[in-house]
Amino acid sequence: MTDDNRNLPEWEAAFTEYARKDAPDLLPGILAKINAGEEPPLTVVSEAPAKKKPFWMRRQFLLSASAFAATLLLIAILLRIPFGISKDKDNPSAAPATDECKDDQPVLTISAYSKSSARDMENASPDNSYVSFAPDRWKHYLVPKGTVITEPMNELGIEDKTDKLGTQYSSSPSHTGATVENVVIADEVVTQKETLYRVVIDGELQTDILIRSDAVKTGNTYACVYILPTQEGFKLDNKTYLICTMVEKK
Amino acid sequence: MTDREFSNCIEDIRQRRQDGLVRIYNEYSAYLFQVVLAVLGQREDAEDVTSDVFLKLWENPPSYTPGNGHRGYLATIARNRAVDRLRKESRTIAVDMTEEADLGSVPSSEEEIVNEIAVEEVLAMMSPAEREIVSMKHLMGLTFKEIAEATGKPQGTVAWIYRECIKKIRRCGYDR
Repeated sequence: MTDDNRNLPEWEAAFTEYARKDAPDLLPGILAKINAGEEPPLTVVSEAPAKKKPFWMRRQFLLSASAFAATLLLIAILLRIPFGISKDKDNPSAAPATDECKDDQPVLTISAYSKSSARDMENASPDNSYVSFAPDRWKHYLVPKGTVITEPMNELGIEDKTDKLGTQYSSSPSHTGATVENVVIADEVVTQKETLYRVVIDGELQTDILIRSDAVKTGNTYACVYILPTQEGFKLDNKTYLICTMVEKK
Repeated sequence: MTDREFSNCIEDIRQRRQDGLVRIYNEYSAYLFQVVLAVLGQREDAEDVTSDVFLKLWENPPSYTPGNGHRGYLATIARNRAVDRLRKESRTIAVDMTEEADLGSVPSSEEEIVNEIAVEEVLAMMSPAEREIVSMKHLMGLTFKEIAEATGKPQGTVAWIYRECIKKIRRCGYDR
């Protein structure tokens, strides 16, 4: 394809005209803000007497309260009063009670990969069912095969400022409850550096995705994939993930 | 506006002369607004972000070297600001272009009405990414390389998306 955009002059003229008509008049507001910002700040002189602070905000009260709290704490320490942290007398090495509670809480396995970077492509899960991948510092997550999509994605959860994949992701409620089944390589190869992949969810073709070949790790049995802006992401277990997938290299 | 003229405008801004900013605004605000709107999908947000682009341009005039492609530079900062806004508000960008079209300005003649409807129909057929690329290409006059740099997409991807846009535009009767 050439880089020539002169092949649709009628469209370009109409689009240009449309854009000019559609544009809001922002200039007055911009200039007003600029002028307001460059004026010296107004000195506000209030003739009303300064409002008296409530007693609990007064310095004297705060000092007294602090001293009282410190005294109580000292007494508690001297009398060895426990404040929720107790040690098992029979087992001095036992962890505090609060830590024991943490151990009981479920841990989402996938969250363990949330800090991965592009260099962590080999950080596959033990059964190689998924890896995480973040080209150019974006956080991308590979959804394991068989993952049930619980609800559509409403936000990307992307933390880094680097913008490589665009932002035009949309949610699709129709995919709720679907299962990521498979990804197969489509016949068409768009460019030498890009490959068109075809995403199949629940046996149904969902969409085609373009994948940069440098996202595919050479020598790995799995290739990492990231998705064009038209793709969708999903929220899994109250965490947001881009729907990505992993394909077995042919 | 040539690169040299843009550079002069930036110099005006640096000298705290608003004329430079106004000239850039008059030349590009409508196009930048379309780029931002394509990213955000919300007119109000797009207006805020477009204003913000010019405010930042005033507050921190870039050290611009003529010949570096000022249109690409403007498109990039507009898009980045839109993306920042998007992240802050955690919005999805499922854009209903038909709703947006209702908010547009009122055309004055029958011919203009027909033209605007036609353009809106075409835009409504496009995804946000397609609209963004078409805006950058046809309104800002950017090359694929510049669009790729502005959007962070591979150049081949940009060309591929653009090709899909052209098909849609042609399907709507814009063959010439």
